[in-house]
Amino acid sequence: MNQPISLEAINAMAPYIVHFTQDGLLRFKTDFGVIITIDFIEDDLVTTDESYQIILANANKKKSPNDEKVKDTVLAITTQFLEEHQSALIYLCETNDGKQLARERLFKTWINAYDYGTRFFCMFTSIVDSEGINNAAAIIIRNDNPNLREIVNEFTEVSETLRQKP
Amino acid sequence: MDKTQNQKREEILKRLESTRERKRKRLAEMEEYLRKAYKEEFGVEPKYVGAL
Repeated sequence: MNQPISLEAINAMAPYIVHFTQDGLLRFKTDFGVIITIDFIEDDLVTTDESYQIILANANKKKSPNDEKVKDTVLAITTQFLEEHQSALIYLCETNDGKQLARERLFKTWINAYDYGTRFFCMFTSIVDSEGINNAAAIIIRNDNPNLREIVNEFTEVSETLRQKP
Repeated sequence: MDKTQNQKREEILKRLESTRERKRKRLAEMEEYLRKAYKEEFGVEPKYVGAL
């Protein structure tokens, strides 16, 4: 991760202990033997302001039950990133393995469970790629971002333009 | 869709592809790390490694 983020602050909020890997990924291990990594990398979809995309990956041996501590840890990391960066954060659902619906549901559950009320603005949409595949997407922005309206307008325009057939 | 709209669409598709390419690259690095880390931690290969 190229962007600074305070592990101390994350670990004050997160139920799982989060570490940095040597490669700069955020990493934690769950009670059910799952290792999860998170990173924030630059995004090109939003150009009106600085924007990043969040990437989550995991390694496991069997399907875990619904783990509230994973949700709370991911939200602690996301919140801390947004506390330290007044930029737009984009989640673009991975579609290459046919599991996008499950991913979308999970991410929506996590975000909707979060009381971002007056601090953050969040919008879900879908982005149709060149192959006509619907990619679930979300954007989260701090409410005090002076470019909030422009960013949301641009993200909406991206989504609407790609929905139209050429 | 008129020509201007088509140009805009093409430009957005390029940005989308660039964003996804960057993500694919980083995801591949993450998966490589996760395979290694899981084996070190649990002594066995993970059954599933991938995006969440």
